[in-house]
Amino acid sequence: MELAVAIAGAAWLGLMATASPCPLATNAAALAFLGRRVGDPRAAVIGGLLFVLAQTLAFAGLAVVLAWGLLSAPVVAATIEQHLNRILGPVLILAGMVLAGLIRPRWSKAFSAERIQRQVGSGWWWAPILGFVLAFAFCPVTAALFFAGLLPLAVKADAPLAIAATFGIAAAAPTTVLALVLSLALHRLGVIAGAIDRWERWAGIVTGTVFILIGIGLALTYVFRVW
Amino acid sequence: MLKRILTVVLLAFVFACVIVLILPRGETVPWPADGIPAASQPQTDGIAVYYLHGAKNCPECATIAHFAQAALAAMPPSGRPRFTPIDTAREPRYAAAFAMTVNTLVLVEERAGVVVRWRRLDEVWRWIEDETSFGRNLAATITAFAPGNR
Repeated sequence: MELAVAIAGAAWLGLMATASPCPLATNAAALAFLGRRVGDPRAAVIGGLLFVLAQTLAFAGLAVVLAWGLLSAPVVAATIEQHLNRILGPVLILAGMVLAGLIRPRWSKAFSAERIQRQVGSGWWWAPILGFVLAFAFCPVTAALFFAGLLPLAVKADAPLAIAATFGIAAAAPTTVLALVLSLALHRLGVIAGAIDRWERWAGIVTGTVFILIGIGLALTYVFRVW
Repeated sequence: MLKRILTVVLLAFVFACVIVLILPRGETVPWPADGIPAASQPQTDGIAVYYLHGAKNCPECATIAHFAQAALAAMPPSGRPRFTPIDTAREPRYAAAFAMTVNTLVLVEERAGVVVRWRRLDEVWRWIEDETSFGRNLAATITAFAPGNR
């Protein structure tokens, strides 16, 4: 009974994390990325599921590591604040530039410009990578919900894995469902209008633009401390 | 042409980010063994409320600071704790000293320029729904923390 209450509490905290305006930027990035697969609804669904799975694993792994005392919560929080949030901005800008077709990296024949362009846009592993990275991009509200709300709950109930996994699913699922609804609706409209290819190209540009704008915002906040 | 200009500007911005990221960032050595230096200015002995915040100051964080300041202002002037904001992105040693995980308030007792006792109040995140109960909870916590009530 106590565990059920704790799991319900974790689900509520996860929903609060996704509904709060604080992580709006990272949620918008996820929404744009997952919703851009206008031409291939099956790939969009698989990408969405992998995104949820990656976020769930990230939160569950972090909670287990902290609950078992393998890492100290203040050290983890400080590392995220001082390092991850600072490099996330420039990384999102570069990813957005590739998605929008502004840069075409030429590393080798095996990684030709077109191939990278195609892979960044469509490789199945990008959704879980994004989910994993964005899970650790804590803003103050999600940090408060995770460190001050979820962790004490997980430790008290002695079930960090189940409780943090519930938090991860509840935090990632609404954005993913919204992205899939958007993607499927655009696909249906695209089929009717016979414009799937054109819409997919535009979806890449829109996603890239969203990434670039969010990256600039994060860089101004965490790197240049403008506000 | 516009695409090329945009690309150059964005790459220059990323390059500037990398330069700022690799530049050395201030002093990060631990505090001396004799204690955490008091942050309130001017320094006088007594209770203070530190507001610890990182680089990103969210609306909820601003609410915590605003409610705390209002609650302190409502207290009698004699013995009223001082409100001292601390930017932990610029002063990471305070984050480490108070084992900070989220933007929060810390009650401290300052004596002779050092913090002799402290209590972190992460529970403020549960109080922000209502300003009246926030003020009541903070006042009760400060009263319980006061030297005479230990």
